[in-house]
Amino acid sequence: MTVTENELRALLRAEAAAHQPDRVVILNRVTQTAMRNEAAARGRGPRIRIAGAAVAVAAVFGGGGFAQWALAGGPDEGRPTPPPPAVTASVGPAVTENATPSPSGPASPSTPASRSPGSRRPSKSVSPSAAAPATSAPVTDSATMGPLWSDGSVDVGGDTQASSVVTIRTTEQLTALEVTIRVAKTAELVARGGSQQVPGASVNSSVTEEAGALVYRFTLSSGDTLAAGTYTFFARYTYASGGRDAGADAYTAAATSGSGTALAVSGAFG
Amino acid sequence: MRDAAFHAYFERHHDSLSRLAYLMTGDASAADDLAADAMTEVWRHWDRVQAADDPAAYGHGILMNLARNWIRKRSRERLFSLEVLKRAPESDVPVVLDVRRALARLPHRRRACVVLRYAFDMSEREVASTLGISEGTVKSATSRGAKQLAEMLGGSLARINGWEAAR
Repeated sequence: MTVTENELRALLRAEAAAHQPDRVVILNRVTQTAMRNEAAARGRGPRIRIAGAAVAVAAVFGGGGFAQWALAGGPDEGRPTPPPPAVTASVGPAVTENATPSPSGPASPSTPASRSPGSRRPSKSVSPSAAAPATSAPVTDSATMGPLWSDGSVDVGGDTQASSVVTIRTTEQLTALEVTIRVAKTAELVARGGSQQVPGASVNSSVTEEAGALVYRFTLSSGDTLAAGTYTFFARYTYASGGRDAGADAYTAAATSGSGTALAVSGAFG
Repeated sequence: MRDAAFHAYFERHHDSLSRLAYLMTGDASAADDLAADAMTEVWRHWDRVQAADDPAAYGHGILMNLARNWIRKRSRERLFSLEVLKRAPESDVPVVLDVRRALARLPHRRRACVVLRYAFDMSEREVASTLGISEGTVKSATSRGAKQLAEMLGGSLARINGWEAAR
């Protein structure tokens, strides 16, 4: 006997439906490849490579934050709604500068005013409104140690929501990493979870309420290691309409390098 | 905006790209990788994708090429592995074929046409543009592939589900 065309159709559909694509896996792989391609295409000094990688992430996944989009579980919930114009504008130049050979967006380079803190560039720019001018001093002091470089920025996702973003860059393998983000209590502050973009390793995150602050902790699973690279951690929250002062927020990161050296960096969200 | 458009494209198509890769390769873990690689290509060539008559077909076409390369690479590797020896006795036994294995036995083009036409409900024209072949070729590859597949599955269906008896 043979099967009819309709049965064949049903069988093939059932077989297709039997496979459950893993959206996050797909997304992570796209990011990783995009980062590698960017780095390879640029092929200049290490500093610039990393800048390229970080920008690529921002470029591919936009101001809304890759991890939020990726880990929120679905297209509806995950995308920041609606993407505020300021953030969108900050992404455009990054795309045309770094990811497209033929520019199709606003001319590069971007004007300082069009960059939001959410663009997460290692080279800091002055952010128009949300940031206190605390950037330069802390970033050069406690934010760097040995192979570890860190940066805090605020990715505003609308009138009442934002993410505090910590970028960790390491030029050596890490065998342990814990990132802590303290978000100081302000009016109507509510935690909306933590997420991270750490391809190839498992990270546990938690949010606890401590005296005067929400504390987001991200811990690399024991036994996992991080290769040299750039990793991003997001503390999401909502707050009272009208903006939020991030001046009292802070982050710390404790790490162990592959050679066993204990490393610690910290900073603010300027 | 390019990234907003790419977001939308990703959300709309990552699922079907992965399922398509799964049907083409029969390998669930490779499927997500291939879908991601196709998405990366889409990202890299976004201008071309957008300019294409059918951006979805463009992405699925990329996936088909990647899947084909993946299968070739794997069968080359298998030539030198024990896999072949392990598999040999199986083929002597009257095989109860599941859909995946049956698909794997079809030549690439027939499999591609059958999968796109039947599992993904594409028109002959869409399949033609996805695979970069003529509609006539799609028509004949689909009908040959479907016939072959139906025969392979017919026997196994009877065995697995007792369909033959039931009908």
